[in-house]
Order: sequence, then C-alpha cells, then structure tokens
Amino acid sequence: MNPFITIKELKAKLDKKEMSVPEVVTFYANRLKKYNEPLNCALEVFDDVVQNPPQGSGPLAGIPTLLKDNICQKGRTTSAGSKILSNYKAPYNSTAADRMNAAGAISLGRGNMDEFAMGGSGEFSAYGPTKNPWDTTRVPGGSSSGPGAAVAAGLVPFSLGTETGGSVRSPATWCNLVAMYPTYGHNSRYGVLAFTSSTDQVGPISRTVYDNAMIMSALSGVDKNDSTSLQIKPQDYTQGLDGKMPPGLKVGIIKDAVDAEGIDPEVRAAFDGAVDQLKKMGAAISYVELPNLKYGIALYFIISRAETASNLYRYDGSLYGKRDDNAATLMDMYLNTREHGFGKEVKRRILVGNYVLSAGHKDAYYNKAQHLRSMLRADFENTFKHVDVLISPTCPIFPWKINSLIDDPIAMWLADYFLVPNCIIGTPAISIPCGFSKTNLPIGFQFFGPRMSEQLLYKVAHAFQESTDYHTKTPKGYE
Amino acid sequence: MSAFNKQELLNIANLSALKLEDSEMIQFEQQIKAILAYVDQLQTVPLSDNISRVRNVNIFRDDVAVKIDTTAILAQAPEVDENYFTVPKILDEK
Repeated sequence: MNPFITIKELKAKLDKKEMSVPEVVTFYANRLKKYNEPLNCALEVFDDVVQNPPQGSGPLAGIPTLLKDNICQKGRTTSAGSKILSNYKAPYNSTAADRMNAAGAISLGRGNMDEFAMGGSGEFSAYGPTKNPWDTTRVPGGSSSGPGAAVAAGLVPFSLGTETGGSVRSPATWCNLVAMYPTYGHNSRYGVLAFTSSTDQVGPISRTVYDNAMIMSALSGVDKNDSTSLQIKPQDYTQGLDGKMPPGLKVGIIKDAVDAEGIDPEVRAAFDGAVDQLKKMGAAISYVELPNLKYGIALYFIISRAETASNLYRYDGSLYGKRDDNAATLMDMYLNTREHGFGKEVKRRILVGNYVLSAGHKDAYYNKAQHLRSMLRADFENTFKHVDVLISPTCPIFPWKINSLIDDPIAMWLADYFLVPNCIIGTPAISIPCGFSKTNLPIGFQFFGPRMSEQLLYKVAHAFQESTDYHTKTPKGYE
Repeated sequence: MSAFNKQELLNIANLSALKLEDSEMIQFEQQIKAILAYVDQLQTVPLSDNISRVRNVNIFRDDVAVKIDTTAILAQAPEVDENYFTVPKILDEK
C-alpha cells in the first residue's frame, strides 16, 4: 500500500473492504517503528492497540493517528516532552482524544515535541530532537515536531498537534503538509497541558486540505469542560469543498511579507508563484498594511512568557510527576524538582515571564503588551473590512541545521514572524504547500481569515491545492 | 529600560522557584539581557485608543459537588498516606 495515502483515499479502501482495520493499523505501526530510529518522531507506540485495534465507527473510522505528547490519553504517559512528567500517566482523556475516539480514529502513540510546546524547531524535547524527513540534518519545525515528521514520512495518515504561536503550521510548512490554527475556542483545551492559555489550541496536521477539514470537523464544538470553548455546534467543513475559488475573492497580501528583509529569496519566489496562481483563479489581489504586525513577536513573547511562568508553577513534585527525593524541606523539594525536571528553554521562559510580571516591570511590559494586542486585533479587523482573506509566507526562512541556532533564541523566534500575530489575537490561519527550494526543501504559505472563517479558509485553500501538485510530493527514503 | 543584572536574575529565579547553577547564571543573564533589549522596542510605541475590545461572556454552570474516584489521582502522587498527599516538612529544624 502507498503509505502517503490521504485519509479520504484510505477511508474509501476501508469502506470497500480492500483492507481491514487491523491490516491498516499493523501497516502504519510497523512503519512508525521502522522509521522512528532516524526521525525520533514518536515517544511511544501503543503495542496493545496494535494487537487489538478498536472497531470504531464514525467519519475517521479505522484511520490511525498520532497525538502530540501534551494531549492527555487516558492511562498513557503524557510527558509534554519533559523529564518532569516522564512518569505521569493521564488519569483522564482530553476532549481532543475523546473526539478522535468518537470519530473512530485510532491513536497509535505519542508524538515527540519541544518541552511543554516551547520551541519552534523540535530541538527542545527532553527526549532528543526530531529530524526532518526531507533532510534529516535539519529541524522539522515545532513544537509539534513529532506529529509533523510522522505524517511527512508516511508513518500515520494524520496527527494532532497543538499550537500556541505557530506550532502546527511550522512543522507543516517545513514538512510539506497542511495545518490549521482555528479561531481561539474553536477546539477544546480540556486535557491539553497548558502553556499560554489565552492562545493554546489543538490543530490537525494532514497531507491535504480536505483531510484537514475532516479532522477539524471531528474536533469542533462546545465543550462543557472548557468554558473558553466557543458556543458552536459541530460542523462538517468538507461540505462545499468543490475545488472552486469563491467568485470575486478579495485577497490581501501582507505588505510586510514581501518587503521583509530577512525573507529567503526562494521563499519569496514560491510565494510570488502562489500569488500568480491565485490571480489566475480569479482572485482580486491587493496589498495591505498592518501597522502593528512588526510588534507581533515582541508582544507574543511577553504575554506567552508571563502565562508560562504562571502555568508551570504547578510542576513542583507535590501531586504528580517526578519528585526529587533528596530534599529535607518542602522548598528544597520544589527547587530540586524544578532544577532537574525542566530543560533550559523552559527555565529561560519562566524566568522572563516572572520578570515581565514582577513589581516595577508589569506596567512597562505585560500591561503594555496587552494594550498592543488590542491594537493588533484592530489592525486585522479593519483589514478584513476590505479583503476576505490575507496571505503571507508561513515561515520566511528554511529549516535550519539541528543545533545550529540552539543558543541564539532570538534568531529562532524571528522565524515565527508570520506565525504568532494571528494566534495572539485568536484568529484562524491555514498553511499549505506552495513550492520547493533548489535543494528540495518544502515551502508553504498561509491564508488568514477573520474570527470563525474556517469554512472559507478551507474552501479557498482547497481550491488552491486542487490546482497545484506540491502536496503530492513526498520525501525520499520512506517508500 | 533594561538594566537587567545578576541581582535581578537572582530575584526572579527566587520568584520562579528555580535554582540556577553558576554556568546558567552567566548564560541566562546575557540571554535575558538580549531578549529584553529586543522587546524594549515596544516601549517607544505610542499607545492608540483605536483598539478592539473582545466581548467575553462568562459561562456559568451549576455549582454541584461531584464525587470523584481519588484512586487514579492518588496513584500519580510521588508519596501518599491513605487519602493524603505527603510532602517533606515545611520548616527546617536548624
């Protein structure tokens, strides 16, 4: 069987009984095991599931998947890529895991990730970096590094990641895949280990836009266990995916996107190619300016570190997770547990978070960033009065060589220039493939829409994808 | 703006319940200085009143006590005594 098959095609094979669910599960589990050595994308493969796959029903019945290691799966280790939770077994299912089960999908394991989802490359996992299947000397993007690499190498047909400031779209663009960050509250955060609660969302990673819409449909809907989830009914986003561009679609190019100094010329050329294609399909193109976009990284930075400091205070060895046993007092236990349990990047973020929240600095940093966040939101809202969707490259640069930027955090974050702004204001964006470098590294671009524009984004991205064949290319060596 | 120094690092390490090794102290001080220098670009941005206010609504549910099975929760604890979590003593005898 072709391992790079889409969910839609695999579902047809299962429906026609060309393959059985146990055959499909065994096929992918074997691939996960075979290719995990070079890629380090799965932290665990559930052998009991492989032995006895559940016979679910639903729109994703019998389709194997991999869930990022910060999405609780009942009875399974959920370590968030951290040593501090290496022995933590989730006592309950996240809503995302429940909804995947209800849709019939079969979780084969846990995907590697940057520790507590903090990183854009996959290099900050306590369990070693994930490699990019397109070039194993390079990073796959992150923080949903394992879920991205696994789909790219054809080890599962789709995966679930989480995104706080680019974490599903980054591996998607660098691994030639599709990923969406939905409107904040579209998907439940219940049972997802918190990092920046005001932007965290679960997001699907897939080969095609159509598949992504199938998964998103299964995830959506209000959840009584997450009061920040939106009061929306589950919907079927595959309806209306007819490959046609909406007539007269107004597309705005973010001016910063094409004028940015740091943008790689090959990324720029691929993006220009996508713009030409959109024009051919009848889109009306204009240039728009978002005056506060350039502050996106800085303000995301302040807000996310502040929330990190608060959210990660709970990991202290008292109630669950690893405890350092060589402590005479409670305070020593906290200090030792956190010193040994957290990696460098996590510590750095907690420290900065407490700095920007501390007395004497809160007004200058945290409060100022919150005000700018509202100004940035106004920028987007004003722009969407004139255009239907916005576009930009997903990442301005190519994935770097593993470890080459490890001690230069600012250089790494600048790769997130186009990824964080919509997260910080809670609006959706979808990244899809649009080309390759001369050295065969994937390039992606993205559509942004206003709040609750998921249906439009899927329709537009699907029409674009149907007119191109970038998404059908796969990395060599995983046949 | 960012007169970040070793004393401030010690202060936030304390607030963060993080003990830092000497090598981490040196590295973090330099890195956090650079980080703050980057985010300090926000200090000169004039704040405008042209902002978007999100209308969040409170979501209420009935305040009903539910009994949960504590076995699975306690099974995750590093140390328990019957139905209690156990931790080291709070005060040092010294």
